[in-house]
Amino acid sequence: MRPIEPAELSAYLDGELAPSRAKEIEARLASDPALRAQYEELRMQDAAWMSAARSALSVPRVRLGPVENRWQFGARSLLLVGGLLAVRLVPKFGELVGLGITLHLIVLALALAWVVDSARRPP
Amino acid sequence: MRSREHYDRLLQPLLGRANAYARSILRNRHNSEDAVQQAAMRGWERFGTFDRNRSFKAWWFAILHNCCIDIIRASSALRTTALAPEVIDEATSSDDAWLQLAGALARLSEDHREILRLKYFADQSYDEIAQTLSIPKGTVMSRLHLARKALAAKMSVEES
Repeated sequence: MRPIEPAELSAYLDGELAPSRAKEIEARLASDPALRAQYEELRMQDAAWMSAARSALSVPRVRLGPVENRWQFGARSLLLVGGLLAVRLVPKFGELVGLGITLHLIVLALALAWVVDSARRPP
Repeated sequence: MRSREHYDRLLQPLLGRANAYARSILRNRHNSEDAVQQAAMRGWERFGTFDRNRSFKAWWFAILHNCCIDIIRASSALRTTALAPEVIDEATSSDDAWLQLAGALARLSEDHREILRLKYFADQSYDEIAQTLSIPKGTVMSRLHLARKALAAKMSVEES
């Protein structure tokens, strides 16, 4: 068996060694009291630090901003489609050209806001 | 498609450790909660670029680390608090073990301090630490071992 590096003892404690190497170290620990004492000291230190670090644990509440649910998405889609239909229909009434232009602008602003909003969202 | 629910599901289990990790850097409860909040938002903004072959935990803790650094830079008063080992602002904390560990960590080199924070406060595996710090796994093993030795030496000085 190749000699055990001190860093390997740390990694053994952390459960980070390959199973075959971990078994070799386990066997050495069982037969070598000096190595066992070294390991025990490491283990106790580790447990104390782990416990100290855990004492700082607390779960904060985080907010990611408003979420658009499927109903909001549906309502926005409906408004946009409705606006487009209205724009198609209004010019047929001749004298309502002013209203047609206003609706055009509203729909354009809505579409623009939607595009900007979508671009800011992660895919 | 990466949804908010997906991001939340990945993030929620990390929040307790995230707060402890941020607190170990900032040494201040309120600022650490601010850092976690900022990291949660920044992570969500960048979630689209997250590489699924990487560990989410390692990716997100790297963001959290940057948020902590931003908070330190944003406040000169806080910079004094966070970096000067003599100053401990956890006056409300009654936990001696935490104060002792934080004090000893503050006296280590940045390399040792950071790897110990990731191990003990962020509860990261060697693979995750390697990804967070962009170093090979073998380096994690040797650096962590040296950092533990250095920490043990500082702790024994603190105790005496």
